[in-house]
Amino acid sequence: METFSSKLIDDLLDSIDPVEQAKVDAKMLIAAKIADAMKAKGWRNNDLLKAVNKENPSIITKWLSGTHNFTVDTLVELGKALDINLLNLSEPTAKVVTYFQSVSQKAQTTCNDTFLNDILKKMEEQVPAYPVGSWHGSFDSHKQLAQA
Amino acid sequence: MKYKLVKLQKLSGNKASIYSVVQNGETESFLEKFLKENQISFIDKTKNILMRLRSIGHTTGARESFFKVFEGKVGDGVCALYDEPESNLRLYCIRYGTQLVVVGNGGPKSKRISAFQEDDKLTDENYFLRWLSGEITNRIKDKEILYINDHLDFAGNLEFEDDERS
Repeated sequence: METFSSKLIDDLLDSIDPVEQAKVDAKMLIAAKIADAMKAKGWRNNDLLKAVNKENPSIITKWLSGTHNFTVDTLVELGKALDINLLNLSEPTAKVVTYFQSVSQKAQTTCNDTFLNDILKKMEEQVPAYPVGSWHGSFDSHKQLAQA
Repeated sequence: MKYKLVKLQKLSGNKASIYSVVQNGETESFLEKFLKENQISFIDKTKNILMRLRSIGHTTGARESFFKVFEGKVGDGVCALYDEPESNLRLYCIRYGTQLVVVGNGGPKSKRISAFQEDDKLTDENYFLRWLSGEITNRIKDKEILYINDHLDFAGNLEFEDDERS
């Protein structure tokens, strides 16, 4: 596929006010949201027409074309009929965000001739006295605790 | 006359790709011709059409309801992009699902006429897209043209020749 850049298109796009583009995007997104809600309900245009008590079927085509400038009244009516929210007016609620931070550091040096190390060494020597499978502790963990 | 399909970079996005047609020996796509032909008389409307195409490419995809369908033969996908209410500027397109649109040319449709066939320019542009749609369909059937990138793009032989137009 060949991609194509056009100075005319680029210049015209650059001249478009972002607010104007946002208005077009919004109209098209609202139309898309209405179409999606109709699809979810299995509705055809006539079903929506009845639900909003309108008579002229062309109004539905207009709403779905993405060109229609909806009034708030129409958005409320459509929202009720389709069980969707086309106007997000809910108050922003304060959210509590909790961050946890843990810091760990290994002991930098070990002391080889402390009283506690002597005790641990003696305990390690006694381990073979326990039958295999009955010992559930770990001298290593005690040793690490002592070293920490 | 030879033509090729090209992808319009700035208008295409992750929702849909916008293609147009370039005639052999020319540097402008059909969309650019449409814009040039109409931007003096209808500057706001041409800009609105460009904004809608950008929205389709980047925000919404090419939903069927955004197009006036059945502007061509049954099943050929030829349609016209809806523009602002009260505007009668027709831009003919071929729609391939929600992710790919080929944009042709068009023009203003006078309120004095009810069918585009009453206007030579609109008829010419519409029938060109009908012909192109038929060619693309045949090549898709023959696997000369494939959909790639999750249906966002065409790949294969995208050059066409119309003996009757030469």
